[in-house]
Amino acid sequence: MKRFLVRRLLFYLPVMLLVTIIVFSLVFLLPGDPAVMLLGEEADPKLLELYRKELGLDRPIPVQYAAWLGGVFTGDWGRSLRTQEKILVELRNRLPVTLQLGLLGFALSLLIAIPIGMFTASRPNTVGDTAGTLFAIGGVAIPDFWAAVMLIYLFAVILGWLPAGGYVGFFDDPVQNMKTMALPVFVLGFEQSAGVMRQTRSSMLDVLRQDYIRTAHAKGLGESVVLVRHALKNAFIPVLTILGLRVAIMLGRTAIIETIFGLPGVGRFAVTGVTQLDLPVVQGVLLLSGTVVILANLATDILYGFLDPRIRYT
Amino acid sequence: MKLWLFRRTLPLSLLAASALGVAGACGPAEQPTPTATPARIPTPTAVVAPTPTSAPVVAVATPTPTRTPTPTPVGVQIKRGGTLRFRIEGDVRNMDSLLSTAGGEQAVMTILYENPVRSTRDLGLEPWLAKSWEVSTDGKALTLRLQTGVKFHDGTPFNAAALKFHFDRALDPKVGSIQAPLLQQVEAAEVVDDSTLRLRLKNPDATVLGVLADRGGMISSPTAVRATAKEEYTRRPVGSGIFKIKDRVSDSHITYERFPSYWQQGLPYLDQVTARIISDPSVATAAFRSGGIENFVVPQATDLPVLEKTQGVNLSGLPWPGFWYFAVNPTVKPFGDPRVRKAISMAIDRNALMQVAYGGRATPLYGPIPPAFGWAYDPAFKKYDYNLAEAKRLLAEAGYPNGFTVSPVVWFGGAERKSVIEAIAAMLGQVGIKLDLLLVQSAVASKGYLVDWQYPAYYSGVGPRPELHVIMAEHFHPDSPKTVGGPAIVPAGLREALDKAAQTYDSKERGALYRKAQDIIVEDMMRIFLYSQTEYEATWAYVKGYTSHPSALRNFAQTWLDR
Repeated sequence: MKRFLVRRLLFYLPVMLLVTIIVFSLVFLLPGDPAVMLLGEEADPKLLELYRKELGLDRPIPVQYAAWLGGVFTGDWGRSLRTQEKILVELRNRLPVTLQLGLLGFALSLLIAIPIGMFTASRPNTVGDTAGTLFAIGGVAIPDFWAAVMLIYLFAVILGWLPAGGYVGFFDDPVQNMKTMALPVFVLGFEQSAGVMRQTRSSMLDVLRQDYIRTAHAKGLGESVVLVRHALKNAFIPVLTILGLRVAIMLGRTAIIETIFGLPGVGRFAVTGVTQLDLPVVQGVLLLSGTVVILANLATDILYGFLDPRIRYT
Repeated sequence: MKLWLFRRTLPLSLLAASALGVAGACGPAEQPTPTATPARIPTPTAVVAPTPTSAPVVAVATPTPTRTPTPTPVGVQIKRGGTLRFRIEGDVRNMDSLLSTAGGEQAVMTILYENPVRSTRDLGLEPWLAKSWEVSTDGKALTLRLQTGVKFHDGTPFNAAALKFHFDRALDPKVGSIQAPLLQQVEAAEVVDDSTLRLRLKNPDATVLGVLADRGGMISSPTAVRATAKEEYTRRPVGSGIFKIKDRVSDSHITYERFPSYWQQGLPYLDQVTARIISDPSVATAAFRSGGIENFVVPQATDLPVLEKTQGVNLSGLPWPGFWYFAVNPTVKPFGDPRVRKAISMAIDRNALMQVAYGGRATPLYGPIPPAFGWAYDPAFKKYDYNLAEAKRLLAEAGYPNGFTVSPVVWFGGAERKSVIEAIAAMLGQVGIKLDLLLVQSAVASKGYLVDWQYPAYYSGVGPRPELHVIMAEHFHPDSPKTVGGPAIVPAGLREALDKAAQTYDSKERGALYRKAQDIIVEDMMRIFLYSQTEYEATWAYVKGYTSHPSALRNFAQTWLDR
């Protein structure tokens, strides 16, 4: 197991380096001039030049990259051109919001998807199957920005049960925090559940056709025991692959959800960073996201090892 | 000698009232008090004794404050305390008034800063931290007499030295404030005594007071500026306003709390004010309707019917201080011919356009002076109005009886702008002018048209600008880099009219000069002016003692919550 881990880590290091290079170069593809973004279109050209120099934008790109990378390792991820705040400080402040949204949304998507996937797989081509599938597909088909606004109108304006956007920290007021997170988590979880559900369903169907399942039934084991103890574990490997990919997708979706609901998270930070051409912010967020995705993939690899002993020993 | 100014200058409307002919008096400017005395216009009385300088000083009567928010009628019990929440669209970058560049930043800065002069509801001026002012006869010295007893949030006293520090900083090239070009006529600020500051001007310039009513005049505590690093100060500045910053969460909210040592005893009534950052317009409206915020500027015209019908909502119209236009590049054929430009103006039915874009909630415009500037706007000015037959005749006379194609017509923006530009394309199609619309990013569009003169046609707007001079000069003065086609295409007499207006303190005279400039601009059809829309500010009825301002410069001094 240890060798396996070390090998995986060594594999991911060059990937991280490649990520940093891509992250850094991508921002230069964004159209527009950051100095103009900062000072406005009507600014004095001399002032614009001054700002460009101050921001170091006049240096050659490899030099800028080296300086940035050096900063990253020493904990200096730069300052936001927009808010003047240190990027690491901003990310540290915002990460709890996105983590809460992401983790709860992820958990919700699993809670919705896996039972429905198992349920529909055990009753293929029945009304139950169709209903379950429709429910999950609805999550994918309905655009999240529309669903979000509709839910806000229902729960905030008409019913008055939940606030319309905004965020309160968990440690400041747990009840209000739950209220502000309820709708965003629901929207995120619901839309993410469809993909997981489909994958669960199809890999369960494969597994349920196997001989050992028939044996289990023959032994007299109950439906739920067969499904959970025998089928699910085996069906879970392809699902796990999906989950690893889901993390990356969900990072993207949080950007939209946080923007609509007004949550001060990392996703929102990225959106404003791009629209305002706040290059250090974009670089910082991309680097963070890249790291998270790589870690998620690493976790997936390790979990494979736990789930399937055959993988561990190769 | 550059007398045109990029941005902000503010007309001195009420200055006119008594002023120039009369060696007039300065009736003492009324202090805004918490009680309900309505403002009175002072009648000129005695002659002010000249101050001990070599140049004789002419006292210019200072206008009486009229922008005190609707005071609570006497006898009503004011409830103190509570938090008022309003909406802003996005987080702000710079709250250091001299470094602020983005439009949305004024809304959050006006809560904690104060200015020597303030902008009134019709975009005129009234005294504030400068109780009164005088101009020397040669126009090159402006003396400000300051309010006493004012403190900044950190306890530093506000005085002439603090104001001088502000001017020095604004003009310092190392600070790099964008207010510097607007104050370029200010040579130096001299402390006369603790509550008197004299500005020495290189040339007479009436627009300086206007700059002081906006960002350029929001005064920071010198102690705080000196003691704090630039990046930190801009996040938590220190002013002398009714509220001071309590805390900020990026992309979430900015909270202000009551400043107990505010120079007007007893104010404010509120304990806290919160600026909530809500980007999505639909969510903003939902937040208002569900009681999450007390006040916001209605972002979408489609929300207005619902809000009008909702019980307990006060809607206040904000005429937009700016104009929307369709521009054709005079350096590109066939737009060099003024007949073609006039034909375009006459092919557009602005009233129909209003229905398409704003459901009628806008004013058609035929010149650059928007209705928000009550003291200069002429509602009867309607030159080159809709006349399809005449448009066709002019085009034929210019040699284009069958019209022509314009490609590309550059524009940017959302759904409302899209419907306007498409309606214009349909209208111009009727005289044979075909528009090939091209949607691009705003920075690309404005640079491409206004700076590089690259595109043949462009649809955009100018504003909001609380200063009329900026609106008039930015795109039309021969020295402005945004005058497309350069000084060569600017018609005769325009430079003189604009320059003279910038030196005139009397708002009646000034208004007349701007109307003259408007006439010259429209006769040459330098732009085809379209409309100026009316925005609306919504407030719940339990919010008392609050009045709207066209630039959404909120003043919560006398506001209280009746619940």
